Amino acid sequence: MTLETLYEVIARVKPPEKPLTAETRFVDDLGLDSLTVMELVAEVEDTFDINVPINLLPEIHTVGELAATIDRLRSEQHE
Amino acid sequence: MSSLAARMGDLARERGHLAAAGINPFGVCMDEVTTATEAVIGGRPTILVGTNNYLGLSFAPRAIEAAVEATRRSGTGTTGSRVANGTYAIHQRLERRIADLYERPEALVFSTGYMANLAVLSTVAKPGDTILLDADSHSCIYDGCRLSGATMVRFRHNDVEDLEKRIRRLPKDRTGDLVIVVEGIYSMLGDRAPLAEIVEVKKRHGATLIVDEAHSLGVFGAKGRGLSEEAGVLDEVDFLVATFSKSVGTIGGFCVSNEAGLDLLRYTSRPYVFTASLPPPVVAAAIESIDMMEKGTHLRARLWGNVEHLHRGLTGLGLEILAAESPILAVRMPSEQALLACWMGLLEQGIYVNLALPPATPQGVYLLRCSVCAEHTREQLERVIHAFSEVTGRG
Repeated sequence: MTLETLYEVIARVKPPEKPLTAETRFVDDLGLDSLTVMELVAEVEDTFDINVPINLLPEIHTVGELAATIDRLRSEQHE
Repeated sequence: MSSLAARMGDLARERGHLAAAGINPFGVCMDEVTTATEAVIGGRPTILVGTNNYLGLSFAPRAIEAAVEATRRSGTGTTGSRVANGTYAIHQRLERRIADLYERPEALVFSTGYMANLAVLSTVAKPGDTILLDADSHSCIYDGCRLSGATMVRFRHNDVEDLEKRIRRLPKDRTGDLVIVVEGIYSMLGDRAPLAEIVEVKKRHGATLIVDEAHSLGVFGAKGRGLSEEAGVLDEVDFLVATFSKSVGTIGGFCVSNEAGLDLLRYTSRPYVFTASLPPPVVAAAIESIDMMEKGTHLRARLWGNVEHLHRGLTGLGLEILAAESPILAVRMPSEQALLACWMGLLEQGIYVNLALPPATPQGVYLLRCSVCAEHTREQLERVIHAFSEVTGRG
């Protein structure tokens, strides 16, 4: 569910050349630069109604890792 | 281990691309700087419109005399940290002067504005706290926040509603403190923070407010104390940080606070402890310049008159200026190519402005960034406007 929504958000920010999977890497596969990453984060925050602290970003490399982080943050911030 | 050039392949390619076109916007060398508004660059007399020297005090005779005298008396440098051999009477005098200016019990002086922010942010916030920072904050704010170990949450630039939203989203069982960080004027776009509204948010949520007045010191307020003074919220700012490297015309940074215990930063703050203190000539010049700044109503009047003149001239050419709220006039260019061509063209006409492009600016925003000085003459500003009309093909 999270993953499906996340695919849509990513496609809005930067349309991917290949179909997205949980293993897709933001920098190596999608070629996101630092500004696009921040734009994507802002979109994710609004879509899922969460804050994504920027300290977490260095640990997130793949779409799947971001989806897992979103799920964790939603449960923390919406309880 | 791979070479630096190999590890930074993209950057190396980009630099090579610009160099091949004969452009090195970040490697301009001033052969000589002759006044607050004039230099010789590449053998050509040039008007400086990109120095952040808002009051023109870097050439104030009083400051120069004081610096020369301090050098003769106390030498060119302290060769030591403030907590070892690097605190001279003149450092304490400067701190007293700033504390009196802000009517606070104490002021702390740092060796640069960058270090002032690193020191204050990394000490005020701690792991478990949450820092809410404006997305357009200067790098030293980001770095200071990172050093603190606190959770960093960005809010949309100057968007108080977004700030509120982010506070609402914080975990309900949060135990740490809330810290809000903003700037007075944002250095690239030249727009002001909505300080009065941010103070309301701060009060509503019991947060600590840190304001970096780097670009607004000397420019706003009856005594030049910054946007906090102009907005009438000085007492609500818990930590006010600023630099001497813009309106004060030298280098260094400071912090004033209402909080008891600011003094403890002298022992706990690594950017204060582990670096050499400011050299005596720099401190002496800062004391004189702060005095001129406080009494500088005439300088601010000249500055704002110049801002208005340049703004009118540039918008008269049909150019888009992003914000008309400060001495930073950011002229928007349609593309990177147009930006580089115009910037080079201005330099060839003897006009130096700053070139600003992503990631220093938001995506797709290309700026010829002008900063106005109280010492600019109308004739200089007319030459600037004329050069803009030539290089942009307008007017």
